[in-house]
Amino acid sequence: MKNIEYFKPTTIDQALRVKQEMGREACYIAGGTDVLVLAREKKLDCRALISLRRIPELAGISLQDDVLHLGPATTLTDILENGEVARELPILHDAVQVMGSTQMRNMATVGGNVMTAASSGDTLGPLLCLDAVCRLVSPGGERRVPMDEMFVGPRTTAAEPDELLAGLEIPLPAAGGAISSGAFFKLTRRAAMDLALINVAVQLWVNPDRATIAKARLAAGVAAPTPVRLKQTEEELVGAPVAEATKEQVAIRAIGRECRLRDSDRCSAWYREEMLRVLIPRAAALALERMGIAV
Amino acid sequence: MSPVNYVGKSLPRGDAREKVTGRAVYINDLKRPGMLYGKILYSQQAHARIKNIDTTKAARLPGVRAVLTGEDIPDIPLGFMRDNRPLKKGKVRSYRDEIVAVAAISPEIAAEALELVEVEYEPLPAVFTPQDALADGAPLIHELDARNKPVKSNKLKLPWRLICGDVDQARGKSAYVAQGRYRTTWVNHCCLGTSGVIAEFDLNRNLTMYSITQIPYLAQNDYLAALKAMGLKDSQVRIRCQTIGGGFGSKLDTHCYEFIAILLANATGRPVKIQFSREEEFLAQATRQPAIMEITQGCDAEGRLTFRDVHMVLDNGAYTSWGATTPSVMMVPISSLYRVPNVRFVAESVYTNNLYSQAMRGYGNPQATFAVESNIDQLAEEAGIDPVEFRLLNANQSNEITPQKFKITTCGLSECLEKVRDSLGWQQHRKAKAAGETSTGYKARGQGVASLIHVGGGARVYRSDGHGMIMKLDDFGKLKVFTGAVEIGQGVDTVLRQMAADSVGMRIEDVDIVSHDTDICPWDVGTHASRQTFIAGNAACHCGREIRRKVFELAAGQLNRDPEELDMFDSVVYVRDAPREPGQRLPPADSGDRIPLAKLLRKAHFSTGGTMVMAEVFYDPPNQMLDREFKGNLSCSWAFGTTGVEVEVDLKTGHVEILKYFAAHDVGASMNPMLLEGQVYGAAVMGSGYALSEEVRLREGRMVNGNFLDYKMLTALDKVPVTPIIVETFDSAGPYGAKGVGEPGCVPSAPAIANAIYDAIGVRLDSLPMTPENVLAALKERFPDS
Ligand SMILES: Cc1cc2nc3c(=O)[nH]c(=O)nc-3n(C[C@H](O)[C@H](O)[C@H](O)COP(=O)(O)OP(=O)(O)OC[C@H]3O[C@@H](n4cnc5c(N)ncnc54)[C@H](O)[C@@H]3O)c2cc1C
Repeated sequence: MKNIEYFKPTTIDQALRVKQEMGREACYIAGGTDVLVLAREKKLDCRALISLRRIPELAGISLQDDVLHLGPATTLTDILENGEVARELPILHDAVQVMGSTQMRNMATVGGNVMTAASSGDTLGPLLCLDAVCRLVSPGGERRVPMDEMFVGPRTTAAEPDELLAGLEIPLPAAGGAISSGAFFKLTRRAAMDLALINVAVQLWVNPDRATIAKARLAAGVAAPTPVRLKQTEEELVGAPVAEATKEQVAIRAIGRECRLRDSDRCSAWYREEMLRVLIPRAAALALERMGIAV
Repeated sequence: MSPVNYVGKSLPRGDAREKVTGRAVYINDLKRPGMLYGKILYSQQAHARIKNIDTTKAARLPGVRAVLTGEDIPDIPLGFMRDNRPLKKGKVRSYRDEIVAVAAISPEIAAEALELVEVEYEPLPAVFTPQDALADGAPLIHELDARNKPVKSNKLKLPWRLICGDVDQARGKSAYVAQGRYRTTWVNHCCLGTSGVIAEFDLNRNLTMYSITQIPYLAQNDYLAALKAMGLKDSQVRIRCQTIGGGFGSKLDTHCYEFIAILLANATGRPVKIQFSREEEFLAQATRQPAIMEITQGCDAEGRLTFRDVHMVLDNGAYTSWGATTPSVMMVPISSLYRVPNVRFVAESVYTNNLYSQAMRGYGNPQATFAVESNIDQLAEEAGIDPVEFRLLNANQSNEITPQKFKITTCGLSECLEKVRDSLGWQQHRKAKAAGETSTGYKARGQGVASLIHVGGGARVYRSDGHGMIMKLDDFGKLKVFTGAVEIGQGVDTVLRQMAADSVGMRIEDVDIVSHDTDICPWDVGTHASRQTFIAGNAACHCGREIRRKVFELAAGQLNRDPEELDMFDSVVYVRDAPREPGQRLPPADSGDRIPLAKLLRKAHFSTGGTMVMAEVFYDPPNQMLDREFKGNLSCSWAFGTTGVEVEVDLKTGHVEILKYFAAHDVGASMNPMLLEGQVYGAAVMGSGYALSEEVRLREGRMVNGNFLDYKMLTALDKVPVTPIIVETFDSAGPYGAKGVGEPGCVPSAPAIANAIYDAIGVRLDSLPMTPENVLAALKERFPDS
């Protein structure tokens, strides 16, 4: 990593300007936990880094009108320690809790996780299930992209090269008295410092009868080249008895239709498939349990 | 000997503060004036002829001071069978092969220079399993042997064959027989400190190696041979070991990179440092040997072992290290763990185009014990005997001679087994299991045990097992202990200080260890085989006795007594039967019956016809080398232990969680319980990683997980809830009764865990590591319908 220029803008505008001037030659860096790994592997193709750590408006968590505004440069530690996240978004809290290690969570940001767009990215399934929206800004203005439209290919997002992720908006699932909770499971080969062999996020909304499902969100990581939502299954679950979400058969159908599992040096496809069958029902059961619904 | 004051106490490590505050100087921290940085280019082929190496562009890069290939250097044969060279010439035999080395003014420039090197290969057919390497018509990895004679096969000319009694006859007479086939894989030592060295010549062409070796004095010999080959026959070698970030056997050989540093330093006339990155450590540092093991054991109707028959094939990789001799230690558990009258062990090592293997904690014992102890459970089941009862029935006892002619002086194996059994709640678990209470939902619990035997009183693997020590009292009554032992993190400096202080009768604050420098410290054969507490400890006792004798001779004149009437405590010499205040060990300060050591030493130095107090010893223990039949009392005493675990297996994911882990060790006597427990904790985690998650994954000889993300060393959050249990048998051969314990802890982990998994789910895992994926696959194979 020699001869790399390092910019330290303090406003979004400054950051955008540098980026505009340098184009693909420059690359944003937040916590650097992905960028520096790439650099070490000599896979980072740029001459300059634009740090996002000194831009106050990019970091922080606030709640307005039942929408949680999550700054992309918020560290995972800050998310982990946030009371609202723990209470309202256990699905995200679960995910952040098992990411990397304390040291890594002190550096890494949620925006970095989104923009890296790895299929294994642990916050991505939860953000998909929460119907989060990305605010992308560029010198030309701002646009809002639903999370569901963000992951367009392996490690590729819908953001244009000149766009910066300026905010994440998460509507609270329990807004307006809705009954909802979620859960996240990650399968790894050790308890820390490990990437997911497979991860699963489930957010369920139940009807006031507490017996049937009003809305469902299911997502899986490392189950396809990008993080995926299991949309067909989500639809089929609407109106179904709550126990349906915890059935292995439902998971098996979802995997067959909506996942593309493969062998890798880390894990074989059959095991990934097997684990999805186990973890989707377990995540659904935990989500229900968190609503006080036993199945 | 003086009263025991420090031995047996949990004193903190002497280097703890330096290490946690970052003051300790590791090789990574060290810089020499004018130093250059060396970097190595490794092969891009598993097996290939080197057709051409073009280094012209690299040599022209500004800042580059030397570029070397195998063609530019003299022939320097390395390795146990002299089959390796610092830089390969003519052909490469594995992906770790060094082919070009560069020295430059910065590490970045050296790295850039390597990128400018162009190598043309002509690929050769390669073999990646011992079976393929032994097949008819397999490509030869080495066409010539060390004497340049053509070879016919990839089998190493290093056969291992131990025969005790008559296995075939015993088999015919056995009431029960159990057979198994087990496999272990490559694992890396994962030392926190990566490999590194600085080679520096002075103007007289004498060489200093700033090094991290475990074997400074044998390394000296290897380097001298290299210097001779380089035409520097009058040069001398000094080795100065730095703080070492972990050894575990990885520094028991001299390695190619060290010789490359010497060659680059010679070529440039400047000190040259080579410091591995973590990726390089995974690529180029040799591993533990993978083994394919076939075992059969039998017992009589009462459960007494009748025979043990083991056949092994070891994947040696492309070159030999001292680790090629690990079968000599595999023999230890195979011949002598439990009483088994008839033993046959045959092992062959085979060259392949894989990474090569070397010594690693336990030196073959973990592999062999995985097979023996897994198979003992199989046999106990055949015989319908409880696995712990079965082991107790066959346990070694004090004062017995094993079939391999080991003299077991003291043996705490039964006590280890009983303590582990009771700590685990073995009987309650059996009852609960019988009542079907050990599995609930998709989780099943199981318990398992495995034991170990290992050398505990040195090991005569070389012709000498000797250790030189010098003790010197200075003008202020402080003792300096000069030892050839190397502190590799195991705590030998601290334990030696305790033993030296007690053996002389001094305050521990007055004792310092001086080590890690071959110019200053006397010769020692190496820090291996869990030997230093025993060997250097014995040396300290002998040397300390000599210091006392000299001190009492001096003090006799001062106190007007015979030397025999004197004693020493807290660095004060005193008259043993002088009147004392109640509860005081020393006579009153003004009594004239005592004299502080410091005062005595000054008197000795500052008087006409003065003297100094120094003592030296060369302690070589009365153990034996294995004879031609591989028999003989290799060690003065034998260490035993039992590990017992309780696991919970997730039947749907295959995940294994360790709920309880008891590790009982017969250590003779505990010199420092805190350090001892530290050894046991570390070994338990290392052994559990070996059992459950660690694995160097090679695809066609190339490592695909050479980083800490993909190489799954356990983390602090992967709780291995270790409870050490110390069993003391006070072996009279050892200093203060001690035996070695550096390696043993990691030996029985894998079979104990495998046995517990079997107890939980009824499936025997026969390959390491037992990852969730492998556990689940085994479950599905065994119970296809559920
Ligand atoms: C030891 C270790 C453990 C890890 N463990 C996990 C784990 O358990 N789970 C997991 O999912 N990941 C893990 N990772 C990967 C990584 O830490 C995460 O992806 C992290 O969230 C990245 O955040 P960052 O701030 O460090 O990103 P950076 O490395 O700074 O950036 C990542 C990418 O995002 C871009 N970027 C960052 N912010 C913005 C923005 N606001 N707008 C536009 N582009 C932006 C950068 O240009 C870069 O391309 C681990 C990494 C390491 C080194």
